[in-house]
Amino acid sequence: MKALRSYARLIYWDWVREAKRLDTILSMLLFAMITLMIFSFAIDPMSETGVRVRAGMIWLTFLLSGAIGIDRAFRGDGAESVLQGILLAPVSRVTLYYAKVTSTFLFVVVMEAITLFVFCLLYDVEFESAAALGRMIVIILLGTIGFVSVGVTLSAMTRTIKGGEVLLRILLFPLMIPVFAAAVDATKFALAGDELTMKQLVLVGAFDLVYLAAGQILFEVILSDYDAS
Amino acid sequence: MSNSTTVAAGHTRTTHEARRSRQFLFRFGVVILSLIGIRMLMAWDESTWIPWTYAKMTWEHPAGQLYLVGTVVLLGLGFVFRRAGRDTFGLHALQVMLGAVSLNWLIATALPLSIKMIGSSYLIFFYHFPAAMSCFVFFTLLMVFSIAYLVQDDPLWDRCARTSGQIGFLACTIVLTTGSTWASAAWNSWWVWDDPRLMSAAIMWLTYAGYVMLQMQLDDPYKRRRFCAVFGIIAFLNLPIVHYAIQWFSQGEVSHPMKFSDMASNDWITYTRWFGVIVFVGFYSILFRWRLAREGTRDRLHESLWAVRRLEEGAHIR
Repeated sequence: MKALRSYARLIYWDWVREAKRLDTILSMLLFAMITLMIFSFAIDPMSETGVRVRAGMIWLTFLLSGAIGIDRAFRGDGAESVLQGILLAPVSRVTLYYAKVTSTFLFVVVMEAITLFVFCLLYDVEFESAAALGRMIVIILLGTIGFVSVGVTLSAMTRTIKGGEVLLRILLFPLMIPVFAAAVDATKFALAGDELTMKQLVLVGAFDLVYLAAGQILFEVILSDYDAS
Repeated sequence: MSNSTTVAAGHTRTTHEARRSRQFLFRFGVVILSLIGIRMLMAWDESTWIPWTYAKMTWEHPAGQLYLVGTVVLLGLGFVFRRAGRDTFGLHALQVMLGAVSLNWLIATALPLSIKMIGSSYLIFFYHFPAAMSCFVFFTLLMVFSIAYLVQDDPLWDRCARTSGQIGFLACTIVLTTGSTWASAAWNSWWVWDDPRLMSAAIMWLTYAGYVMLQMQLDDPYKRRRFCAVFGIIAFLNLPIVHYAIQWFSQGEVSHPMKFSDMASNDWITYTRWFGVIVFVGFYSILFRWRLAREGTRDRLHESLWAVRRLEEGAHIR
């Protein structure tokens, strides 16, 4: 119960900080918009090829701009001293991990919702039914969990390194390939209005679970007592 | 193991390293010569066997020329560099690689003529396959050492992990470059996008490049050990997942040369391939030993510099 309360508190304070500055969500959003614009120069979005690669484009945009949000989880003005305070407080690392994953997940999901909306407008995507949109949302949420769960661990790892923003991406993106491949595959179905197969959902879900477990176990190793001194 | 020697005055160190280098070259030469001898004995029964023909065959092939000339040039460069007191690790690595290639080359030319009729393109497998195997061996070792470090908190395990990461990365680079070169000859393109094995090797390379970068960029030795161990474990766990994910979601068909397994039914080829694996893992282990000693010296230096810096900042040193 106590753990749950501190979990909620940690998320709450992340959102308070974000509400004050709005820097994370805004920079993610702007970056996503720019990426969507640039894609139209690479591939004519209305051509046959453009329609086929849409799922990949969506996920590439999410991956590139979501990395900004993950990067900000432990970086920014005063983030290090805030973290040290949390580490000294009687909060378990597991609670801290899940709180960070949740708040980062929510930031990224806000960005993804707006980006998806803009994407549908710009690229003329229409969902035939509410079920089709629902399938899309499910797959995006599942994919984002996998993306954020390892990301938070790596973000804690690279937070003190000079130039760690680039290093985070270098470490994160290769690890993201299973989730990315599975999510793109499922998104293709969702965009075409087809039913998702059980296999697709189970695969993305399984990757999420593996990454959450690995992220949680290794997060405790990364933020040891040495960091709190 | 020489990592227990302290950094002595320049004169002593140079003598020590020069002796070690001579020792190595001597042993290496003995191994090469004896293998040439074995190869000659093996070919004794072949009626057409003329040593000069085989030497010419090796020399006539562009790759053979590259290896022979490269070995001589690198030996010379290594000698000059060592006299100048420079770090010759990279050169030694290349020398060892070229030596291993030449050995494999000699053995591969002893294959029956019927197999050689296929053409010389299969020769890559006596280099490519062993390099891939040793790459797997060292990445597995990296994971094992990383876990050992997290469990026991002994810097030696970290040093072992780091070293095997570097050696595995070298092997992985060799796998990718040789594979790509072979593909340009056999498949007429340097890279194929629909092959899961190719893709997962490339991603493995990128992942461990990240590992090497991570340990380069972290200053704090305590943090570096822990973080690198963590990433080493994540990276290893991720590799099979990446491989199967690409296999499941790849667009086209698998084009990696599985036809080779037909040829592998031939005892000669199997023997040569696994002999290559033994030779390669052996040579990489020599590299590993050297690098480990060097990493030990570097760690001591780095840690004292770090402690001095922290003291200057007025920090409490653990």
